[in-house]
Amino acid sequence: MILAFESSCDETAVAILAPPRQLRASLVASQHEIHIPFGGVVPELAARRHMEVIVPLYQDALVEAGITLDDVTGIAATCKPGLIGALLVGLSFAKSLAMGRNLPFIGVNHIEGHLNAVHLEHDDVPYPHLGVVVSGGHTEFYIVKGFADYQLLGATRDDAAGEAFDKVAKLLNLGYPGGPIVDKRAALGNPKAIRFSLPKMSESSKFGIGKYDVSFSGLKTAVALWVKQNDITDQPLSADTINDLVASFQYTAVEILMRSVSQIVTDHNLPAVVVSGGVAANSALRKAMTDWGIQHNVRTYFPSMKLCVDNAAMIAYVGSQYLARGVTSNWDLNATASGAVGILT
Amino acid sequence: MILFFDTSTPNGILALGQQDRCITFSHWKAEHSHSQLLPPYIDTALQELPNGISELTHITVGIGPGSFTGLRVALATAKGLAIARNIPLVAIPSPTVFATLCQATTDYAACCLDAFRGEIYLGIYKMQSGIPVLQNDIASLTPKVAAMQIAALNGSITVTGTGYDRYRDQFPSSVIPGNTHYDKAAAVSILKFATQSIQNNKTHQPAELHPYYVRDAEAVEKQKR
Ligand SMILES: Nc1ncnc2c1ncn2[C@@H]1O[C@H](COP(=O)(O)OP(=O)(O)OP(=O)(O)O)[C@@H](O)[C@H]1O
Repeated sequence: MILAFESSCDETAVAILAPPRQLRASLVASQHEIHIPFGGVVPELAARRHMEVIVPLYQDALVEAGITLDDVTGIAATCKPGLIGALLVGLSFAKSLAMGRNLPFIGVNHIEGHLNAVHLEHDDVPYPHLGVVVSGGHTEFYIVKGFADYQLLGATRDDAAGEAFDKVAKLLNLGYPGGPIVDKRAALGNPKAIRFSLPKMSESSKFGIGKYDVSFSGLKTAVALWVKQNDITDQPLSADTINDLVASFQYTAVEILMRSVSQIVTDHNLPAVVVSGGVAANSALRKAMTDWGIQHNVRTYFPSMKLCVDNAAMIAYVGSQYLARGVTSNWDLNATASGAVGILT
Repeated sequence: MILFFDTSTPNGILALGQQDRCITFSHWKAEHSHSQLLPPYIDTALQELPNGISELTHITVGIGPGSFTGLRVALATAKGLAIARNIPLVAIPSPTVFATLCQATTDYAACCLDAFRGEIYLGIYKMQSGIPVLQNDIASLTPKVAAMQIAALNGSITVTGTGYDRYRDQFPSSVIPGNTHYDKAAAVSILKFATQSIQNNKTHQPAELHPYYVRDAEAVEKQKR
């Protein structure tokens, strides 16, 4: 049984996995409400909260799985990327539990977790495939050639996709987190009501392969500009107009993502696309991707919601795969704010 | 067998032993990487025990105040070990750790830990048969206020800690600088302190022990202002 911890941002999570894919427990303690008064995640508060809940959450997970620590054969924890102070709580606790029991320990990359969450629910995902990570902190495209074999092809040059949803919602005072709210309101609006243009991407980027990169800041600015021009104080935007506006924003955001997806799949002749991260919950993205897949004979996979948002189940899965291959981390493993996928240090 | 460690300051400290026997003692400098250094130090220390980690009966940990991240690394590590071994925790405030380590022979000892933002965490102790007994509520103060409280004490006084090192010129010249060349005798002093706490039943279960922050997160302090 593999025990795993995730504490990279504002969710503490513990999971217990009977490899390869039988989840015995997957608990998530969210701390969203703590950060709301500050309008964003406060790293020190996040770390303090992780510290408070990690032991009780661990104890609850054992109870839910109906096991004791004696049944655990390996321990995994997220070590990057994320907030250092937050990461260190789960990482330090996991390392010392492992040391105390003489169990193998492995540090896991959070993004690698997202890329692999799909395997907990599907045993037929073909390789190579396109792995798309779209969350509040990341928007990245990888060719996944096999387990632990990833090639980064493109990423956002500015805002992450989820960040764009959150910022647009904030601009329109729709509430937080913005993604799900925009999704709901957009369903009531006309996606073609306002035409926002797609960003033009130059060839060069920090990854050297500019053509697959995406950008959301231009779209966000265009929405803000539209509001400025149309939101006249004595005539606030009507609910219908807001629905049309967010529907049009969402339509364009999905277009931006789909443009890169279709380019990569075509250029590299890939048989499948796996989408993960919080934005994978977006109904318009799911529909566009699924329809496109059917049309182009490409299989599309979306892990279920609880595996798309931050969770420890995906960390347990990646950890179990590394441990099964005899790969472990040393006791001196540190947490890092950034870090490429697939490279273990 | 007691394992002790403190990572509340850049001076990481670890001791293994009990009562007046110290089996190993290590200290290291780390600004930001206690999480990298502490576990290997623990692992190496435990290898000194003929029966390894199974000999541990208590984990004793410096709980702060100090570096917020340092406290959490120590506490999370202590909790993991305690749960894995099913043994209790013993908590020592970090200023008490350093007041103990300097083995003062004066009437009083004071520990000033650098709290940054122009402040220090002050603990004032009466020395009783070589053991420091806390006299105040540990708080974050300006060095000036701390120096005034120290100057008001009646008797000889030893001062130690990273805050004293940093703001030394602001303290009365009559105080005696504490010994900071920690050796096995210093380690024995802290192990004795831990042993005494255990004898007095001052132990904790992992879920109930929390870092002793003293201060709120900066964002919360700002909001209050
Ligand atoms: N239905 C939805 N439509 C669009 N965006 C959504 C939807 N549901 C959630 N999101 C967005 O997903 C993000 C949260 O996802 P997740 O928890 O995976 O990300 P994170 O923790 O912010 O980042 P990371 O996983 O990169 O550390 C938020 O930005 C949220 O607005």
